[in-house]
Amino acid sequence: MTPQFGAMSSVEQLALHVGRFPVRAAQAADRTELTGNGVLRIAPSELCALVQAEFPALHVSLDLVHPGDPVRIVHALDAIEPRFKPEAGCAFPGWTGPVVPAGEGTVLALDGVAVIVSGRPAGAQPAQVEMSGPGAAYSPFAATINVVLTCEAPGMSPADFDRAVRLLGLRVAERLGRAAAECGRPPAHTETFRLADARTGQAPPAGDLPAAGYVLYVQSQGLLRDTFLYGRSAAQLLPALLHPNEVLDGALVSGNYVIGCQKNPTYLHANNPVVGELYRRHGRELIFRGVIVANEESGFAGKQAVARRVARMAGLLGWGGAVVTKEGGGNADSDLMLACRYLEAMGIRTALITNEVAGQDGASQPLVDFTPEAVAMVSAGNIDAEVDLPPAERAVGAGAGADWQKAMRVPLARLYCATNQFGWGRLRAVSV
Amino acid sequence: MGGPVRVVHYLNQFFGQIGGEERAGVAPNLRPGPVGPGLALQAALGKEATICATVICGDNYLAEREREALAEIGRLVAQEKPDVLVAGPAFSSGRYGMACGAVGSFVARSLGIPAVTGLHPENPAVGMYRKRVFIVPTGPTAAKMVDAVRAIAPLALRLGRGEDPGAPEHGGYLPRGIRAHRWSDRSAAERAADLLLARLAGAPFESEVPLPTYDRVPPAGPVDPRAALVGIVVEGGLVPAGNPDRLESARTGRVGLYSLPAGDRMPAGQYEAVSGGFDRRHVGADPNRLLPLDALRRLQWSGAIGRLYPHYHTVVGNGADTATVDQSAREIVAALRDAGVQAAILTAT
Repeated sequence: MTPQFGAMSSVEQLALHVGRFPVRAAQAADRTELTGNGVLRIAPSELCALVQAEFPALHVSLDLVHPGDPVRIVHALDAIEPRFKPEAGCAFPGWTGPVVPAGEGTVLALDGVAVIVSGRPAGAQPAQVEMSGPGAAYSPFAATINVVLTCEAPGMSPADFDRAVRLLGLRVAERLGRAAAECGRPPAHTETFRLADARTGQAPPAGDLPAAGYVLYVQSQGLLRDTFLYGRSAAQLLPALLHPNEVLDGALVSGNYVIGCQKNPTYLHANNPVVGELYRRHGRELIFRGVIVANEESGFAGKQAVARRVARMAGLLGWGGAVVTKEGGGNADSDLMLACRYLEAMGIRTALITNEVAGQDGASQPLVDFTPEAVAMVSAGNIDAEVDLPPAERAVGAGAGADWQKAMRVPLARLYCATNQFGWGRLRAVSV
Repeated sequence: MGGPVRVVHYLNQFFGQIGGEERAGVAPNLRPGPVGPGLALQAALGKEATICATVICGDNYLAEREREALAEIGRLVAQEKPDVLVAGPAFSSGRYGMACGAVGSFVARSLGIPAVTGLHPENPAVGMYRKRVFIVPTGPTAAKMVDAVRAIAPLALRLGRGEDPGAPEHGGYLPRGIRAHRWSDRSAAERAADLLLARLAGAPFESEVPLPTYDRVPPAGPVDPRAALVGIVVEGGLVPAGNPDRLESARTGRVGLYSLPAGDRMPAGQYEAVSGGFDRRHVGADPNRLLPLDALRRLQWSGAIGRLYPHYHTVVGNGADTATVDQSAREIVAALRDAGVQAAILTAT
């Protein structure tokens, strides 16, 4: 489908309308559709075959899991919100369609649904979702109806498997989003994201409001540690300036299988909580002046170079302040601290979100790197704290079996998105 | 749970009424019931707890023979089966403060018995032991003994009963710097935006994560590599193919120790990396890029380095907390020193 380029909006006028369709239940059926009373009917054979032409060796099975089910989802890789863009025809540019700048027009989303891809590529860190019980509080996906795609491909190369499961997840998400477009009803509610004031149609008067932005670090350091901007690995990315709507509209796709609790899945990129918060305060307490996406390079010299560019870019944009987030931990702490140091040196005040590695007893140092300028940090919790989980009646996902149904004591590190560093969660650590 | 809380009280030679400085070398010994300031402590505890025994040790004995002293003290404490240990209070006393901290920390870690002491906030023992021992802040001298034991008693009772000591301000002890989970009523993203706005407005704000304090370690002096025995330590969990010792892929304190092959390089196919923190697919095909034996052998034959220690240690980073890493490091250093290694090369992923 040829992308349709209309007249280009000014930056302030650029508007993304996210139309949400609440889903109250999902069930297997003969055809994939969204019924009038919010039931998502899914044809498993249709969805499981969506990458069969390119990757015939991939075995896919599908499970539907609802909040409150006595189920443990295991080996979660990515989670994706079902979305569809009727005008552009592509919700994930560079993956399910050509690269068209995201962030404009209407995107339809199935509210309360996530596609979760499950697999066991060698080297992916295990991650699980507890759909009920005490572990449920730790994952955003305990509250979503999950379409779990279990993927196995003995003999497939790691690179092919990685690409296959990503394409599958995104295509399934888009196919489900299309059910909303085809249901013949308007969305239950639509949220519009636009930097211009809704009433005046103009950029909000800056007056005394400080200009602020968001530095979004992604991690692209090789296979299974990759993040994609418009379909391209961010491995060679020099810091890039994005309109916040691009982040909310599928420009970023995750291929990063870091420690489970630290994951920034595609679902949370498109629903990035920091972008949401800065938008909420835009025009009232601050002027939101964009998102800088930067990569966490493997080598230290690279990290320094990226952090300096981030600070320069933020300075050129006239930012007075920045929220900075990272992906992963360990070496990623260095990226966070370098960015903090150089932004502060540029006169830009920072607030950082980070999880902690304070040990099982909470007595270890919370971070592996620091800079004295990091005086304003928000805690997303201690990844080493242990959680007791009761047995699950059923385990779903790659390798799910009786072993996965047992009661277990696990470090928080295993719980998918439990210490998410986009700031999704309410878990934090305090000093006692 | 019935019955009074059982308390063992630790004192030095002076407060234990054995003698002054001239008796600071006395070995650990046990007296039944409370001794010296233990009587004031017992009065403050009332009927709810009983000091069943007092363990006394000379400050010098403990300082000079710490390992033996703690082992013996631990044995004496364990046989009393207490619910809590109270040490001191030691006020500003340096050696006695360290002794109280060391004993409390040992008992807490090895016996699982909570320990509480009283120290002046500027006592250097506070920094060392605050995480392992509950430290009630006291005045500088024993002139404040009665106040101190009255502050220690309620905390000792709570700990002895297995109750939550409460946050430091309510529990009456110095913040330990231990990170504990809480559920906020706002998301981290909301709090980050609030924090940023507070800073931009010049309003007061508070960070949620304390800046770590790392030791500044002065580097060891230079060695002549041409004469040195050089060891190699590898991060990334490099193990013989098949991982015979089942080294974990993340967050482990276990250290692998394996022989270096005799030849001029690490042979393909005989090793693998188990750390889950990096893309380790290529290590099997060329382990020299994680453990550069090929380069080390060339340096050895050219005389640029003296000798290579014929074994290597390996650790897995990948999310390990600093205390775990500290422990592994100490183990490795002890082994290398025993072997006479003078310089070590560390490779990381």
